[in-house]
Amino acid sequence: MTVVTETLWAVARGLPLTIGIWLASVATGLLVGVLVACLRHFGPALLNVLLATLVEIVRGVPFVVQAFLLYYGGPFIGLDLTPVVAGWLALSIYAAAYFSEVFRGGFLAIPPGHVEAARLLGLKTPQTITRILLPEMALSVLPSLANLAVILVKETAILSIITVPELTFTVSGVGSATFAFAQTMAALALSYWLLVELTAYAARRLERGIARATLGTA
Amino acid sequence: MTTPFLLAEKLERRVGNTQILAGIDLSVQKGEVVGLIGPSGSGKSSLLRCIAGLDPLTGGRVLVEGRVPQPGDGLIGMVFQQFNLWPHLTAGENVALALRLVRRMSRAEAAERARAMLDRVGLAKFADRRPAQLSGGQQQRVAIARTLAMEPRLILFDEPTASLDPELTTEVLDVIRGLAETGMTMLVVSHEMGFVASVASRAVFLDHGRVLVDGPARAVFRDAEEPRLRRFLSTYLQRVAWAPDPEPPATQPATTMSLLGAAPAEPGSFPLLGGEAASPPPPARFSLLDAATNPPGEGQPVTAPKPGA
Repeated sequence: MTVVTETLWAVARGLPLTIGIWLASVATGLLVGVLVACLRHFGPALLNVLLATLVEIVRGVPFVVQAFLLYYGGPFIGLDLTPVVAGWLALSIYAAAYFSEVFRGGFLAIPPGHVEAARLLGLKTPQTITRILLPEMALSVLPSLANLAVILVKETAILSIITVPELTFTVSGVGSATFAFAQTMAALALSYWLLVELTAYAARRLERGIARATLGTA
Repeated sequence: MTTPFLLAEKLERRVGNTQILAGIDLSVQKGEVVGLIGPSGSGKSSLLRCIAGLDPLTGGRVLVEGRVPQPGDGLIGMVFQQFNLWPHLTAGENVALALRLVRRMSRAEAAERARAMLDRVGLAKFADRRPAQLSGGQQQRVAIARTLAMEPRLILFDEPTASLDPELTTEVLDVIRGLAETGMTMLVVSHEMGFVASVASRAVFLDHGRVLVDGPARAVFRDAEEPRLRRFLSTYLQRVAWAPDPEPPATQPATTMSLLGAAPAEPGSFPLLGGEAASPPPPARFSLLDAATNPPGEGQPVTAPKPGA
């Protein structure tokens, strides 16, 4: 096989896992991130301090180190994870910390009167969050969320170090075997770039959709 | 005397070293419309927010019909200066949301009631518009409809027209005036002195977190004796006095100024209460501000010929 076909084959093998782990981590990260932001914004002060500390720790440690710690350190605390699960978990925690800050910013940007009006009308806090605050902030937090999602696409590459057989792992394997480093790395760069462009396109579509739904404009 | 509908006893609120409410006693009977006036920072809005339970008290207590009101218990509705409509929902959805989530109405039922409420404030046709597509006055009327839909026992208005221009103010005040006529119990914080004078049955003047004057609205405005209240009202009258004169009046400035001077004010000299005075009202020199020819709320343009005038 030529280097080209081998590289293409490697891309085909690695891409599904890259996309899979990335989407799963974005989904988990969004969910946990919203939850953390809500608990910090509406929960007791002590919980806010605790969660703030956790977020600071996750943001303060390089992702490579976190992935290493979880995968190689996990067994010491009874957390014996497969590379893929460890990779998904590490990326989700990393994503959640950053997503939570975006949502917290969203909460802070909403005039307090919108919450007070809901409260006086009898809405419960969870109803206020899901029916009023999240839809109201959706459009303004979307660019920041999409930005993070794009960064996370590229962070998946780090998971190759803990032997997750994703895109970087498979393609750089071809490079090591054939010594065609430049060609394989170029293919890798192109693949990630295309993925990011696709994400940005999806974000733009989503933005228009949210604008239509929440503002009534096209 | 019957137990008051709303009883506020020795309300105190202190934030850090700032005394915001310094022992306020207020009792309101059912159906009363109480206008709260006073300079900025006097505690008017804080008083409303404490009664509604949005701001915590550091002393005293509030009872509505003998109960301590909690935010969301349906006793108290509030209309804010900034409307506080939810921008992602249409006018109809703004009114219907609490009906569905709190009253557990079906979607259709809630939408129908929302439409009826919007109709009450003259906005039935605007149910599908988003707040951004409505004027400020229309937004405030939607906010009033949203509050009314939950059938509160008491409505608090916190400077409902302070961010509206004079025309839009008029349409909102008309709605509030209409509500007053239905016997709704209301507390209205407003800088629209003419409105308070004509709609409120009672006026309360606050300064530095205390009640300085509390009495029938007409008496409070006409025979203001409390020096701080006189000073407060006089600045307002000065602005009226600056209004351009359509015809050169001989005695007008003197008449207006008499309230400010040492001489006791004649009842008819207060331009906003001229209509109620026994003496015939002076010719309208600025009809929009003259309650005799144009009660606040009618919104006639200055140049419009008055029927029978």
